[in-house]
Amino acid sequence: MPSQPSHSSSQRVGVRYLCPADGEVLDALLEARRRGEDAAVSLPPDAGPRAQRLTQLLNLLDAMPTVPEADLPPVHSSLIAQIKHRQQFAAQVQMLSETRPGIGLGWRQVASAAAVFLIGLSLLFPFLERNRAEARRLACAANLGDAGVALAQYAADHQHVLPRGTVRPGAVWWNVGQDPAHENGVVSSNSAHLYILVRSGLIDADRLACPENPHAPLGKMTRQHLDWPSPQAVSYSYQNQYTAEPVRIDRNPHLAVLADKNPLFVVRVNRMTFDTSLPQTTPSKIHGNRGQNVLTAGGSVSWTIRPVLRSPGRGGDLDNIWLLRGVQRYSGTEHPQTPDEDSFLVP
Amino acid sequence: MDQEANKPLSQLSDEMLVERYRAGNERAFEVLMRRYRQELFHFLLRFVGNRAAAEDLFQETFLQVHLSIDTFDPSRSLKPWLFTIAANKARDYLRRSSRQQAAPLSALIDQAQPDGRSFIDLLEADLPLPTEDLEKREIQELVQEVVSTLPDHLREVLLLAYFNRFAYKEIAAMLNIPLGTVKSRLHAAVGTFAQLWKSRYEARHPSKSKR
Repeated sequence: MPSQPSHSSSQRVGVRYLCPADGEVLDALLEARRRGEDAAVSLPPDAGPRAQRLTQLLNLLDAMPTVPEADLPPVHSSLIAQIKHRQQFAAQVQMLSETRPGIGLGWRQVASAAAVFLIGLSLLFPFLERNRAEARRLACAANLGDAGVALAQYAADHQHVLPRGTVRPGAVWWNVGQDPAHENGVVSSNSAHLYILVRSGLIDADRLACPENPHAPLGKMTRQHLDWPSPQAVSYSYQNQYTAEPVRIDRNPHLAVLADKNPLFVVRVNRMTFDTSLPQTTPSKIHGNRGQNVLTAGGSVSWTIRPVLRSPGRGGDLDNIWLLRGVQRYSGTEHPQTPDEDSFLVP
Repeated sequence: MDQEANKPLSQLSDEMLVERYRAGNERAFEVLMRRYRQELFHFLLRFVGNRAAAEDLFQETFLQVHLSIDTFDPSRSLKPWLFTIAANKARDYLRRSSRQQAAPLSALIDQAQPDGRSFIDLLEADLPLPTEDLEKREIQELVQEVVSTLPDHLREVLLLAYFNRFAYKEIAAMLNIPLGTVKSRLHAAVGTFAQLWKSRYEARHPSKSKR
């Protein structure tokens, strides 16, 4: 089947063609590259500046990251063994399906059936595990859907703002599990603001626990609690509430407000810190680094492979939901300058 | 022929390795996987933009090679066949995942663009090039972002032509599209890449881009 244009991730990119002169030079450059020859030989005589510009542009592609040899997928005979097991399993099933009814089974056939069962089980296991992971991902998306309804209900009762306790703008927000009584009622944990939904009775605490989070305290959190007990217990990251003005839910429906936990803020030696070793577009660890469920202010939940969403408010700019625009280092006090446009989902 | 028979597997051509594997030598398959591991994995990774998916697709590609090995014509080159399988798998994956992905991950370059073709002249486009003080990691991120924003069918042709150095004719055969379509997709891929690079770079570095 011919390769049809598909636009899975880039439906609305405006396509620009090279002008014919550039196109001609590109063809010559790529052909020369393929042959390992000097491009100047096959280029049109007046192509110098265009060739130089195109070469500079193509050289940018070489900046794409490469995976070191040691990190490449392993190559060993297990794949071949797996293939052979599958074929063996299929052959056994075929053999048993041809057994005529009414004939008693001998021990060889029983042993054979048991072997088939075990082989089948061992083959099925990865698929079952994959299905279970998919089911947990969908359950997580359903949780976010419920959280979206709860957030909308809360906002409807509170002048369209997202849940937010008493804050001092610019104060530390990553002290998950701290007791506000020690701070004269001022909350220094962003997750505590999300927990207001539970305390208000708008959602059960277990609905704010992703099934993939092994540290989620299922069945233990009540309306009397103020916050999750630890950063590990938190499953979802919430739009940072340490802004001068509360974040409104009705300004930008595309704003990400809740998602699987931000992987860039991690606990080291009992305190939270910003992990500078990870790429900024690292997916959430909750679903095995495969991606994350994201809830927007408009109430839609989607699964994204990369933690970026388009932000129509900024001319279609991409918004990294884990980080603030233009901020590279974090000490736990940073907050969005334009909270209706810049998602900054933190524990 | 005897000389060929005595050669170590690693020195045999792809096609000879296929022959050996068909004859029951499993090590030949392993050698093939090792030979194309780096190139094929990077192609998949750049195409789908997700490491876990690229690993799955890498395995699926070789599983398909095993299942279809009897249909391979050893008088032809193995590499285009291998990449055809990989590209098909990757395209299927992107189609499947697009149903789950947040719709607009990509920025819109030109909302008011008419349906007709829109051209870019690189000599007039005033493309910003990275300055020396720009961190390597930042350039990497930006290039990766721009490439992953390209429509799939353009990114596919660009990767096959630039990184994997396939001839246009080979790409046409691999994707089962006319030669002219390969050319036009490539010109569109590079033109769109240039336009996206310019807009993203200038958005990040308004001062540097005007130098």
